[in-house]
Amino acid sequence: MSAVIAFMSLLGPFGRAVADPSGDPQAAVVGVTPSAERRALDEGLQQLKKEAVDLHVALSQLREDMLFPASSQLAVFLSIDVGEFLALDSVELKIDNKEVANYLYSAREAAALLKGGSQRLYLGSVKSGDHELLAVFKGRGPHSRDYRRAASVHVIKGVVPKYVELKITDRKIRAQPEFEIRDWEGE
Amino acid sequence: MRERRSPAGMARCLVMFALGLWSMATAVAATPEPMAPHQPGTIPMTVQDLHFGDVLYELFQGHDFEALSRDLQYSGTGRIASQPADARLIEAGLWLALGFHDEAGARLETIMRAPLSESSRNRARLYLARIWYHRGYDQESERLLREMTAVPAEDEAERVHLLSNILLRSGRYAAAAELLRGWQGPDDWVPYARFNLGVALLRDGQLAAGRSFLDELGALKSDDPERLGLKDRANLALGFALLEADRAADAKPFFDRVRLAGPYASRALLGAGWVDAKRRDYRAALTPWLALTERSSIDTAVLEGAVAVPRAFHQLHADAQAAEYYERSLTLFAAERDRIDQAIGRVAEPARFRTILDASVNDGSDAWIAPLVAEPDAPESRYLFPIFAGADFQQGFRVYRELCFLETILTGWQDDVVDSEQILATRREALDERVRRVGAVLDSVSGSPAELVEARTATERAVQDARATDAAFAGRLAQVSGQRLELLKRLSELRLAEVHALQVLARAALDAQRSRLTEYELHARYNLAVIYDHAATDKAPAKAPAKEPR
Repeated sequence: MSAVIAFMSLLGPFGRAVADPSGDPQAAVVGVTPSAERRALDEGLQQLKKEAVDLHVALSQLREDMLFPASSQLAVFLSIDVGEFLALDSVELKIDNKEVANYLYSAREAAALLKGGSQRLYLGSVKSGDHELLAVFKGRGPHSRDYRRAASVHVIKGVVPKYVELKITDRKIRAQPEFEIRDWEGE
Repeated sequence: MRERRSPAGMARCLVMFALGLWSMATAVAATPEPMAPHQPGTIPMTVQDLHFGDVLYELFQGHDFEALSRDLQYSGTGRIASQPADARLIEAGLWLALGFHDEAGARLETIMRAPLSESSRNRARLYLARIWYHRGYDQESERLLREMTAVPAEDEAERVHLLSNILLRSGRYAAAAELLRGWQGPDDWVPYARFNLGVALLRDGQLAAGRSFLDELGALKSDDPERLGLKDRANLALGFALLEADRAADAKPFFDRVRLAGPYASRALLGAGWVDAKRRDYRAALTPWLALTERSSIDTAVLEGAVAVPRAFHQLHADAQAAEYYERSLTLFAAERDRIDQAIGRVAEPARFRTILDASVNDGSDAWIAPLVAEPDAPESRYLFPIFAGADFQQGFRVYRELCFLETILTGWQDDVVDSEQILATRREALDERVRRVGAVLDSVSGSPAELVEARTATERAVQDARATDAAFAGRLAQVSGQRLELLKRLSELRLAEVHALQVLARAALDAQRSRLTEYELHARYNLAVIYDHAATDKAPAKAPAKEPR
């Protein structure tokens, strides 16, 4: 509940936003009521935006279906749990010894990961069978020292989409970051 | 005065609210332990779906459109299977953040019907009530506010504040006053509530009660420009209310309290002059009214002062000065009318009007003001500035700006469509090539006729499947492409309609100013004619000119 109060406290009370547009010295400070025409235009905009979002979804799904069909799709996500011992700068990803992603994080992206987001680092197609994933993490580790660690995993790609998570966690006992690669079943 | 949060900031908070509601819902549903404190905006529970995490990743970077699209795409393909309820909450917040109030409102209503604690439900009601209030759906907002029960103090203050605003907007002054009398809110909001209470009482005919609140507010000590503006307004409201009640002597101190450097000074000077004029002390009235003639004539009070001054001279039987000041006011009115006509001309031409709007759209968030500031003496600047700054114009301009943003997005998708068409063409070429190669291989190999027939049949089936898949893709792409063009067409129509609505708004405001000006001009001409008439017949007028400015 404390979280909710924190969110709500950002909002502050509401409705004091009027600079006496009427010129009436006895006008209350209550805001203006939109006219029927204004509402109609606003609703027209909302409808357009709704359809634009739907269109974007359809286009994105179409491109995904064309380029990365389920039978060959492999998606690799990156997430950070806590992130006290590593300030992430970049991640390099190799699949079967071939570099497929090399990502440098902005402060905003790193913050989004720390807040609980998972980045879809890679979306691509691979053949069915055995594959080796190697991830190299770079950043600033404990005591602000440069930090570089690699982690690898073998995954078996079947006929359904394969999802893999690269996860950075904190190992409190050793005061070190820890790297896991988790093979999520897409099916 | 202005909103303490920008629309974008507000929208971000709405998403944060959804996240907060999410944590509440989860806590109510599943977590008996108290939640550990965490930073605002962080997620206090495990993200169970990678794709949901991806939505949050976009959301936390402020990519609301992308986050919502991904959320809908992933939900639609069953990739947020573990936490669909969470996804719905985030979705509602994103609809809000993107300005889809109706969609968000409908979703929040649905969420409220789900099992939630009463306190969570009240929060959702309050939030939804805010949305409806903003959108002008006062009845819906009022219903939700009245449904709230056992509300904690911090929410109760806002609930009452919103409810009283709705009552004031609908002219239910007595009910608003009753509600506001006992209002206890955050310190920085008390003056606004007191002002509204004072005004509600005045409007309800309770002058003495309204006076006590406005008098207190009018004596407020503060360095804050917003509060000083409110203080001026309280004094002005009370001063004019007392004038209307024929209590000119009581009104005087309130006009005197208004700052001469503030935006309400001209109206205060006008009121101060009227106090003296009501007491027939025209010599005293001339002091504030002459001061008024030195001020910017964009203010209606200054135009009114331009006819009040010669009228006072006339009452003092100083007809030479009266005639001189009427002549001056006529010159002033003619110049102002020319400027208004030029501004009307600027507004009337859609292309020229759109130039102003587009310059504002392209320059950034608060840059609507830029083209007007660049040419402060241009007629459109002088008159359009206050019109553009008005809340109703700003509502329309927000829509216009969003339409431009949407057009940019839709236009950008053209590249994706073309790219997809090329992918499909490449796939078809690759398939044809493979078919040709397989055919050549089959032609060249030796084997039993049955095996060859089977191989050819299997190949043909595979090719048919591949072609069918490609045809399906092509169909979907054609549909998406057609919808994009259709949306662009409708968007263009809506943008024109919005430009027209803004033109009408600006034109109506300019026409109103022109009409006021004409009224003053007629009054001045008539009274000047009376003076000249009497001068020509060489006898003093039997009485003062009949017409008064107001």
